[in-house]
Amino acid sequence: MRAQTRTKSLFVNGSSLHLKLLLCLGASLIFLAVENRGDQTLQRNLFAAMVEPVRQAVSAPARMLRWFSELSASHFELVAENQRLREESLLLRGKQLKFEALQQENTRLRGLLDTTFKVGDQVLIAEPLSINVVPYENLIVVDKGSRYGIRTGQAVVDGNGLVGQVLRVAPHTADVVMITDPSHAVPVQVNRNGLRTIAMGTGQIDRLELPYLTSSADVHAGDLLVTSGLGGVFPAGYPVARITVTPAGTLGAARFSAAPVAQLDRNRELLVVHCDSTPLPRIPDQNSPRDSTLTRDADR
Amino acid sequence: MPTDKAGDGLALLGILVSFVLGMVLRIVPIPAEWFSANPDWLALLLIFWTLHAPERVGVVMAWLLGMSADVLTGRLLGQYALAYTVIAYLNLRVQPGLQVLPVPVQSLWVLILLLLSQWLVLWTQRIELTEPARLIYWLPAFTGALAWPLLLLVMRGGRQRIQRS
Repeated sequence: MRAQTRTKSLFVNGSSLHLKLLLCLGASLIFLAVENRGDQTLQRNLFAAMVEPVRQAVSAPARMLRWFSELSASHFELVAENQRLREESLLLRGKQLKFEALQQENTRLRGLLDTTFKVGDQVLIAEPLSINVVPYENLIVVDKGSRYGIRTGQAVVDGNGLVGQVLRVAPHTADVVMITDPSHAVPVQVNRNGLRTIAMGTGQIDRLELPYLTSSADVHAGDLLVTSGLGGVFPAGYPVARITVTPAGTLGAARFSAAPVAQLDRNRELLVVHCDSTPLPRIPDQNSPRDSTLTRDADR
Repeated sequence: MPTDKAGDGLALLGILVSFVLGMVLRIVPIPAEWFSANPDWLALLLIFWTLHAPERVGVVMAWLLGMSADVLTGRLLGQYALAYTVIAYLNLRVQPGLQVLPVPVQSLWVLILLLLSQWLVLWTQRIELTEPARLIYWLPAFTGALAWPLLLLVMRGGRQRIQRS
């Protein structure tokens, strides 16, 4: 047995090894070149189907755990939570009433100003399958893909703020690049005074860089940054981060950075925002269209 | 000969199962600060199998594994494939001599291979980074080298059990 292994391994070390090496290196480089051009490849879907069971296996225990904890929660806990949720729902509904009135007014005013305006982004709920946070890649793989209508470039938010955008899609999964990924930048503006700038990822989960903000800019620690809608990728108005200020030291003036408001490393549900690129008519019809948009949102 | 064939199938199954476990460990959800120290288990397993079963796990297997790792971790297709191909090749070249060396020396070699793999992945990254590579990026290679003796212990136990049955 031992001798047989020996001869086999000698055979592997022959010239066929070099041939295989060249073939594999060439194939890798070709795939890299194709992906660099930004083409969606069939091969990716093939391999995605191969690793799908692994992803499911990894996310299964967490789901089981959640299911069990929901199952074993006591009656009183459930009642208390129910009560809390009902109060929150009431509060939100109250706010929503005012919001709808404001939105209507806004649409009407914009109609008068001769501009178009989009109301109501459609959203799709997705759950993260794996979260990959190492210094040079901040990615989330979610459990919905092109079969569910997800496309590359769609914005992803959680309950608190912007999480990232869809980078690649496979039929049943999608890769979401986080706003903190070092290759990612998002156009933002300061909510308080509308000052526009760009927030770039650093690779650290809790920090965004603001390289284009001068030290004399009118911002304070704690100011909220929201998406400005410039660039057309992210819909305007989603909260992104809060300003943190590094005070002026011996080395130079004060520097600004920002801490994301979304819980990037612990979110359980994500919303993929479907921002429709065709605007609604200038002056909305009073009886039907807006309501139907809203119900469609609720269905999703 | 037929019994040998059955043993062959069993061994191949063992190898594949270990790779699947490696994939699970690669993306298992752990807190962010721990995740950046999580060693590249797939590369470690690849080094192990090219060392101990070079007739079954070669360059082509390494490439396939690398492609799966690319999809699994959301990399560009070909980054890990390139890295794994190279480390499998290098390991196959030194394979006859390495097994007899003491474990700490093996760990050192593993460290070199893992660093090379991470460098290749960084090199094939499409985008320009806003900051130069921070030191923490190389941490998984070091934890991987530390995990090597552990892997040897576990895998040798598993392998003997398969051979005995």
